[in-house]
Amino acid sequence: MTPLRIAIVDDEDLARRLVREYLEDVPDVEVVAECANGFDAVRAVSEHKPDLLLLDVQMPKLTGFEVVELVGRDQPVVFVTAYDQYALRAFEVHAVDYLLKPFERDRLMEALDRARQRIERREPEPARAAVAAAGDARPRPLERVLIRDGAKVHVIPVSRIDFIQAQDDYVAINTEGKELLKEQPLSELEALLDSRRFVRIHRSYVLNLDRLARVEAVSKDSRVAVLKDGRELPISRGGYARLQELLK
Amino acid sequence: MHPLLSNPRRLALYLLAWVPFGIFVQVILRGSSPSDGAMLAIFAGVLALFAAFIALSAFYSNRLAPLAGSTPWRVVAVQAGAAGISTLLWIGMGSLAIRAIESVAGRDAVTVDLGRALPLLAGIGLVGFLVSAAIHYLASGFEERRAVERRALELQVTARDAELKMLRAQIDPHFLFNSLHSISALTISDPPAARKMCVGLGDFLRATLQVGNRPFITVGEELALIDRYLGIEQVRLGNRLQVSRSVGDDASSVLVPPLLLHPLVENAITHGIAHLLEGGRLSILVKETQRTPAYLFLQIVNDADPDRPKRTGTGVGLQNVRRRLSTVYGDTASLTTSDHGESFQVELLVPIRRESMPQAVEPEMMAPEVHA
Repeated sequence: MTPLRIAIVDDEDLARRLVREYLEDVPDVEVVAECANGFDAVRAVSEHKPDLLLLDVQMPKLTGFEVVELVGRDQPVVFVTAYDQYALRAFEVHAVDYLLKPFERDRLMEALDRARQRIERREPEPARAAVAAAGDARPRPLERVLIRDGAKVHVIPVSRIDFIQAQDDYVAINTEGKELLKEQPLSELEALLDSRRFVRIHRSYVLNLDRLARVEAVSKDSRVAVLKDGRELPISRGGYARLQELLK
Repeated sequence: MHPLLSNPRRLALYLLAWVPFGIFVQVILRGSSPSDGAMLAIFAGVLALFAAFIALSAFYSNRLAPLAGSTPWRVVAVQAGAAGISTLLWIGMGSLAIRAIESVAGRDAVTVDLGRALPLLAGIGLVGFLVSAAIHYLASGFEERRAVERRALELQVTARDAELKMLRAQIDPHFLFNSLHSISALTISDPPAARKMCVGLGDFLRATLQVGNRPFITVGEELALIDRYLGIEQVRLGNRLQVSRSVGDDASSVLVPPLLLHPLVENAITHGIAHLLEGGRLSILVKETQRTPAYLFLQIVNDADPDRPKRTGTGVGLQNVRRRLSTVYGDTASLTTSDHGESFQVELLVPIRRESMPQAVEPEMMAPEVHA
């Protein structure tokens, strides 16, 4: 049997040590990385491509769920946490298992068995519709957008977003003069944002209302949004109606 | 309004109870009436109906002279007056009813000699009203006692609720889960440290239970409890948690509500320092202010991640502390927070309270001194 390659992610040294010790004489298991925070975890996934992440939820900078969002739901994950209230969300992101601290060695072995089964069967990620049906337990509205750029992670607070543009399967997030690409449909990202601050002004544009300077009429039926930095974005007829609704 | 009038079902039952009275009146009137017939029965029924409603007015005369807080003379005077007026009203309405019936059914349809029946009817009216007043006094007495019992029960329940809530607010269960997990890790690699942490956790829990029962503890006791707490967190967080502390000379003996600082320290760690990759510093400052009258000044500052998500539940702990301050000190204490991005600061000002001077006690009677 090829060894199960594991990355341990926990901000507490003792918690990592315990898992390492539980795994010490387990055959067919190899600990390929130990990470004390989410950034390191994302990097470790890029570098080592572990079969399984043992992932804490509450960590500095990035939560365990944000790590999953960045590395993708295809990465098998076992959540390890003292908090039981994230179980539904863990199911939603297709977690292999959910361990509550403190736990015994046998419980960890059970989780590893489940992970092996999952990997052997190569279960695909559940369809997005099925995940949506399970109920979106993500906190709303979104406070920051995460973008993975290889091993690097950008964390963008939503207040720093100027506007978001749809580009095929990607969204281009415009923030402080930069443009960052993220693989996500615009409608999905829009649904997560605060609908009082972000408005879909056009099929391809979602605007942060704080950045709007004025609306200018170009011709009888077409208008543009002029941003505070002078940039101009097109406004569709439906977008204008939504904008007016918000500015009322 | 009278409670019977607001409930149609109860009112119907009440009126039904007056049917025997109507029969009684009819029997009485038969003596002063040469012939008895259907009209007499109707008249008796009308009189009973009037009596039923007039009797309810005892509810108001009772309010005018409640048994508790009125002199006996007042009770007698009010009830006698009310009985007289009610009886006059009753008989007056009765004679009007005779006229009404006669105008419909023809003269002499009701052959009642009211003059002859008057003393009897007046007697029934007066006694009846007084009986009604007595029944109303009894009923309101029962009602009041039930209300008092209910209030006592409600008070008990809310007091227990408050106590439970306070206990729950004292210790975050996740702190326990994480600590147990750390102990579990230490049992393999460092058994003495595991034992030490077990003892530390036990001491901390026992101390929170002990001080939680007292209205006030000294700042020294509160800080000792916080030291125990920090000792446990330091095992978990290692060198990510650095603590500095400064306590003014006389501040240790000032009295504060128990576990006033603890939730603030816990917040500083779980919402502040635990979010920092490299950890950070927690500073606790306690001193008396210079101005007069002197206040106790408590300050907790922690390093924080300026980009941390803002909604992480810090509000609940702070709200609890605020509520406790206002229940204990009214408007004389204050709590202010300031978010400087890279650090978060909470400041408390509370009036100074100290144990009253210890009474002179014979040396051999003195309780053994406890060393924390």
